[in-house]
Amino acid sequence: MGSNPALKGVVATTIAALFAVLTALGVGLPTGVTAESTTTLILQLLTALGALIAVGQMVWHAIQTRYVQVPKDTGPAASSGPGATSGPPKALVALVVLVALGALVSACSPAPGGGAASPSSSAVLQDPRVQLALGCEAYATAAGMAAAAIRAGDVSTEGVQRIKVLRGELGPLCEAQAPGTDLPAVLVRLGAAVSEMTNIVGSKS
Amino acid sequence: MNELVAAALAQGIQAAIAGYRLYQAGQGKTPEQIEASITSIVEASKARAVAADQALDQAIAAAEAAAASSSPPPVSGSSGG
Repeated sequence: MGSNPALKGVVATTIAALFAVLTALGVGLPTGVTAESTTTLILQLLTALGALIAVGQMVWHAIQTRYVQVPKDTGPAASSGPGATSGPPKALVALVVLVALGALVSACSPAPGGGAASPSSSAVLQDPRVQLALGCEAYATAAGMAAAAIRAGDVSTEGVQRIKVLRGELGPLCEAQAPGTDLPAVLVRLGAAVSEMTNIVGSKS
Repeated sequence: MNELVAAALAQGIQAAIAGYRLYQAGQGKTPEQIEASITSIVEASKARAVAADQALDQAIAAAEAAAASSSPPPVSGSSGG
């Protein structure tokens, strides 16, 4: 049936929503900055804004792909073309974004007596175990979507093999959580692999 | 497509839950409470990653089995150069 850009948009939106939550929570903030400081607050707002823009772009791309490129005139092509008969994912995309927004709001809402995050929140976020756990959440999200796409036959044979390689590389990372691990490198690798896995899903031509 | 939509919805909600749990962890009043929350987050994320990993493994195995059954058998006696 060809590639499914709308599906890719939904998948990308889901992944982006996860990363929006992670970035808004300040995982990437430099350590040593007090949570109450204005700098931290500004950084959190900026990262949240950037994440929202990224999510918005992906949603817009999904909607554009779904609706704008479909001929609007009547005829056989209009009733059988992509997006003409199957249910549009508009409501789904909106719901996923709303959920992500809810998480963003809760993450950025002022804690009692503190700024965007309380000192204890900052301590939690700087805990290496938590950071790796969030990376594993990203992997779990990508793996879950990849599994569903493969079962639906929406991934090419080559894509399945590449996902298999990525799985073999990333799966053990989440289980090890060994002290002394080069955490930034692991998180970067997790993020890159999640992005690649997202691109593979829906790439069947 | 329905399965994929359901999967996307489920993953999005779970991601948001993870974010909310993290937010809640930071609201702990004592170090013991915070430590307990961190342990809970780590265990939950590990369990979710393992479950998703197993589901992915099964999906890959099924796809490989389907591809193998649909591919033509090798021609015997040909050396291929």
